[in-house]
Amino acid sequence: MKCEQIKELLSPYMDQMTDPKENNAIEAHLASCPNCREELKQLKAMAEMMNGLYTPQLPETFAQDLRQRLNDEKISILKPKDLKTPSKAGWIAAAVALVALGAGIFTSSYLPADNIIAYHEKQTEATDKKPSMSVNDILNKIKIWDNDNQDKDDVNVDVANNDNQTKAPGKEPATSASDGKPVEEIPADTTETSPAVKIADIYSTQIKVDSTEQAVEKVIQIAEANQAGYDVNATSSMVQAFSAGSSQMIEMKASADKVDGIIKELESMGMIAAPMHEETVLTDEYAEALKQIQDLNEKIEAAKANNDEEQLKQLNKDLFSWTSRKKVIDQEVGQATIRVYLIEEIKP
Amino acid sequence: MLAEEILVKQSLQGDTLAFEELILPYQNKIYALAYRYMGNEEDAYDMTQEAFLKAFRSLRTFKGDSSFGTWIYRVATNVCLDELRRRKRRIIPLSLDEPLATRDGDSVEKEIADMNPTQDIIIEQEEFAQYIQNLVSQMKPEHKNVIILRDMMQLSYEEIANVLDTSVGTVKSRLSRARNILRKKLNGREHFP
Repeated sequence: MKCEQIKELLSPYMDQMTDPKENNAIEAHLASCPNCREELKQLKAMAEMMNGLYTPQLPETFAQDLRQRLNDEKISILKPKDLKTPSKAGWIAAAVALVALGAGIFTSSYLPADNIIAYHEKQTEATDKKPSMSVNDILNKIKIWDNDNQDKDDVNVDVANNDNQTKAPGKEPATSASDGKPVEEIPADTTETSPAVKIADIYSTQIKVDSTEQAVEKVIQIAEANQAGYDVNATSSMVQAFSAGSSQMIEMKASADKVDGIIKELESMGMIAAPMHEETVLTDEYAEALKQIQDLNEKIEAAKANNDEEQLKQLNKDLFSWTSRKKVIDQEVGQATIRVYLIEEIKP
Repeated sequence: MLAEEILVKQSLQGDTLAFEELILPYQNKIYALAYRYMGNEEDAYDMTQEAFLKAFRSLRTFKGDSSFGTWIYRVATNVCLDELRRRKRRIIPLSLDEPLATRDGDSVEKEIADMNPTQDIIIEQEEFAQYIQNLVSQMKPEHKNVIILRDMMQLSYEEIANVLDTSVGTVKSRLSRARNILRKKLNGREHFP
């Protein structure tokens, strides 16, 4: 046999998984081929090393944790476990949703409205819903696009819906869409916040600075002094494209009474563009999330009754994504968001 | 009836204590397996919990045509692969063993991130473990599976075939291919024979 054929067999050979005929051929070849001998030696050494790799001890808390979760599992017919212990993936999904939620406002000043709608539809296509309220609300505010979009029926219809619902503050649409079931019937886990008009405050401002690095430090100091949470992000390529130098975005989450103070402090940092204040009305999105959560819980019960594993998996996934959205909205309305775009000025 | 079968029956009726007893002999093994897939203790812990929960939930799909041990390995392997797949969607895919087509139609193996590119540094055992883990984590699932199950978990070819629901022949050829990819990667390193 040729080296090529022998080499194929060396791996099973060292595991005694070759038959006697193959063994004879391999051994005869090895006796005369130093290359293949070397290769076998390497394979053996490698397997030995992998066998001896360090493995940590299972932490002692394991059995107790598992018992807790198994017991939860038993009583979780109405409460899918994903709701209680969101995975890391879920938190990331929530973070992505958070960014997406806010992104509309900033991008809306650059993007044509068509793009915003397309962007939003992409996000919600899984649920077959029309663009929901926050984006339409933004559209409503950005008057400059109005003329271009008068002929777009669904946009106008939705904006009209939006008006109807926001005119009745405090009155959550108790029956949603076609099924007519009251939203209140959602399992206890998901109803801790009573739905009302949900408004998220978002302030954004641009500061021209000599050095983004130093400016970031300064903004962080301001955030910390005001007990605001912050997150430093590289700005999107879109912002980069509009600024010659490097740029950086810092997003703060602060309690409403701190906002004025923070903006005053930011003003002391350099050339500041007048802060823009946007209110995003999220009432419809919130109602939609509540409705979806309720629907999904019902479907999950049905799927559990039918032992439909595949279906259940998908439903749990959907449920988790809607729960994350709801959480994001809860977070959004609880605090004001301040976005600081630091733009480095290029010195001639 | 074997003790394991009794425990399975009791677990099916929702007896969580029976289930705990059922899985006790496999806890450490499954944790070790998850550690090999995930590469760190925290994720391994989560995946082990997840695997046993999933096993409890889907115990009725265990038909007894393979051993419970094989079945639980299969559940755990799938839980880990699912999680890795989910994560992979968020990062740029980079596979050690998927040839990168070049313009002239040739195939070359991708240059993978090497933790320790200087070849004349003698690698300590722990470092080697990390290095191997890093290499294995970048392999395609079909290769990763056989390397982990055979060379790290010491399962037999037949057990592996059962866990992966494939034939012994397939295990043989995949393992041979996977080992050679790793061997080539390790070849030339100072500590390697």
